[in-house]
Amino acid sequence: MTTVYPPVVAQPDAEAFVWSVISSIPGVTSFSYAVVFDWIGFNATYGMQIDARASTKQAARDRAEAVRQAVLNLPGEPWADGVCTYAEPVEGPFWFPDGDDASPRYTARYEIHVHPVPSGIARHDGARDTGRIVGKE
Amino acid sequence: MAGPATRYRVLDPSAPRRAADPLVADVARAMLGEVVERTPHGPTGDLAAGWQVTHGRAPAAYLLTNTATRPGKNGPVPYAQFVEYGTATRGYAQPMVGPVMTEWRARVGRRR
Repeated sequence: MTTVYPPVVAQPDAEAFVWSVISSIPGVTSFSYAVVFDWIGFNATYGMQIDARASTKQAARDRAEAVRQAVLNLPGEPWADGVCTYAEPVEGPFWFPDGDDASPRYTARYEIHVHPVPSGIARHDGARDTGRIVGKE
Repeated sequence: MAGPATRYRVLDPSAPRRAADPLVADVARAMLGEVVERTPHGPTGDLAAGWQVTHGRAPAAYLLTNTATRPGKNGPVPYAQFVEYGTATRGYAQPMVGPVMTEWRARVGRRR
């Protein structure tokens, strides 16, 4: 009996994609705290925290709102390496008191759902497109 | 082709929540274990030891909270949020709850 595994799908860099969209907003930092794949390894969900800082609380809040709008618009942004199917806020934006000596911060967390572009699968490893035969039993 | 309309009278509105209660309790306890596993263990151990699941006011509602309970220290752990979300001076966070929430949303959430 021959065992055939589905092709290994190279995942696009969603963190870089998000950063390319939000980095023009000053005072913003982001990091990914979780990445979860579906059972077939095609769809990925990125949990990302995005902080917005500014000299005043209102300015930080305005930047966090600009980030929120940009993130929710991710499915409409052109992205050569992948497809963003859905982006949803799961926490915030909420004011996060860092202490009196720190700039005001608003924090939000998002879940961003992505998958590779179909043509990208062939581009990354065409030999595996029709299944990879790894052994016989 | 549409048939005749059927009317139902709900006799016990909270029955679905009561039926789901043990399932939600199982999920809450599983999440608790995963959060505890992810929690960094500092000098006091308050944060790692403080996680607990309690029943909410409604059926099928459970709360995951963190409260230090050792002698002389009983109450919320004040630095828990900074471990989860990071601080201004220490730029990194060590999320305990967020990754577990993401994992469980994907596992039992509305998208599957």
